[in-house]
Amino acid sequence: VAAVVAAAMASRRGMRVAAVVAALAVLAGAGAAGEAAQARQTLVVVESENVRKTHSQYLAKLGELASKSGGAVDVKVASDPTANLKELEEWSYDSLVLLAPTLTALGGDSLAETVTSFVDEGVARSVILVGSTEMSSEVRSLAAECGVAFTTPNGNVQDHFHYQQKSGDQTLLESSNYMQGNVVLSESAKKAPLLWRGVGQYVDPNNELAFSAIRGYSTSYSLPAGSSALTKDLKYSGEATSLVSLVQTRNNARVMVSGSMDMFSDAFFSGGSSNARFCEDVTSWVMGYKALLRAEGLKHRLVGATESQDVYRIKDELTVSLVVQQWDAVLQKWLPFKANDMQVELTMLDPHLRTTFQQNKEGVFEVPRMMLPDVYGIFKFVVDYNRLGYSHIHLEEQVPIRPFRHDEYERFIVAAYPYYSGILSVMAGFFVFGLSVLYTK
Amino acid sequence: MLVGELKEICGVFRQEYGKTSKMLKIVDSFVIFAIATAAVQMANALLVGTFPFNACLASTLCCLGAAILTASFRMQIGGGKSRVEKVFADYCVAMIFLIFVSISYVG
Repeated sequence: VAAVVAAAMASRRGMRVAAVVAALAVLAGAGAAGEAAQARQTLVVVESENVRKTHSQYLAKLGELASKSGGAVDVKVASDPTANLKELEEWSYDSLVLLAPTLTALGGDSLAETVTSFVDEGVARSVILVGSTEMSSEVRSLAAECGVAFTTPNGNVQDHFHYQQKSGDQTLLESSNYMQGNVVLSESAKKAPLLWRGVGQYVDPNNELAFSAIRGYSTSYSLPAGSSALTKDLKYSGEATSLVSLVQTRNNARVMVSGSMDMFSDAFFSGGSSNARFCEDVTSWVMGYKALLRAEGLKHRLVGATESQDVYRIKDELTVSLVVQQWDAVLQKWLPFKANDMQVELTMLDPHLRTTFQQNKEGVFEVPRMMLPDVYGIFKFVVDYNRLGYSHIHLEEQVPIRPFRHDEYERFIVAAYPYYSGILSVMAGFFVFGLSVLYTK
Repeated sequence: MLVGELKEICGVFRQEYGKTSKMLKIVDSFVIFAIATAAVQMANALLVGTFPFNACLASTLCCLGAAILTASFRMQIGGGKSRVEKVFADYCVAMIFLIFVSISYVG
């Protein structure tokens, strides 16, 4: 399927033909979570023709990342009437990059509605959204739908202590306040500071799905648009100001929201900042080339059996196994995922058992021996794995557990031994008594 | 005063009881044994719990039933009116039946 799509894309003659073939490819590939899903069709909507020149390095990098996996990138200007996610009522793209902060409509419908349904319907869509001081209310509400709120003083973020010294512009931030861990950002991206100028965002700390890739400092605050004077509204300032925010939704779609168009520009990529590496890392995370997991087959069977059963009995010993794989973009294949904190629960309203998987040599997660509890009912095995940056894994397998049959109980109950001995002593006593009655004179 | 009267009653009882025949003494001892076993079963049920309740009932009632059957055996031969063997045969059948039922119920 990927080869057909690539051939159609190579002959750029008919946009329509290519888009229809792409739609078919998406439909065919959307069912399988395999290699075809990583061949992504990306639509890039740019503000104007000028953006193609000022952001040429980033657009080239997008094309390079896509073609390595067998996908393709379509760059269109916002005013182009053919810039549309849908072709004949079917989605024709997997990923969307919006380098157009003033965009209000896409394909004739309102931007927020179209992109929200794009993210909701379908498997693992990707969206990159960029705001600016002149962004439209559609872009603002689209970001809010994803859990990222652009700050209400809608001017640039200013920091008097962490700006690029040689330009003297105190809204041009140099921030090294990166997120923890190397799931999304590699170590090389964190070595140099990031150059950024734009509108800050606020991500609620209680939000389990959205997080910040890079934040401001405690000295950062947002200005109102068109003014350089401070206002009283400094509700979300300081370290709560997120410069680039990431969201991973429950259906494993990934969204990046950045307040700065300049962060992606050629001017900022050069000059020793980490912009190029940062943008590449975050883009490959959003597009699903990085930290992408798939889990299949939560299997359970009796220890020593080969097949799983429909019904188990209390106090049975089970072995549970799970295969989790991670996509490796370099080798272009699924490799076993290595983790030591994958857990499985046996739940009936509340978890009755919870154990951690061990990994065997082939990378299969398994629990070698799990004894079912002494409670019967309809249980389910639940694997719920939500780690920052990795895809959400949620698997459930229903398992009825029955009580003992009447012939599966122990024959003699230990607690009843005193009662057994009482009756036996009466028997023995009666025997001795009978003999003595009959044989004494 | 009451204690003195009790002691007198016990003394008279011991004297008179010594005059009963050996056979009846054996029967009386079996009755007392059966009741004591029933008391042990009930004490166990109080202390440890009546977990397999059917076993608890079976053993207690078996012991009490044995005591009652033996007491009725003693009543029938005590007056000296019937032959021991005939009464004993009835008593045996009843006891075997009681033990069969209680073994079946204890599980």
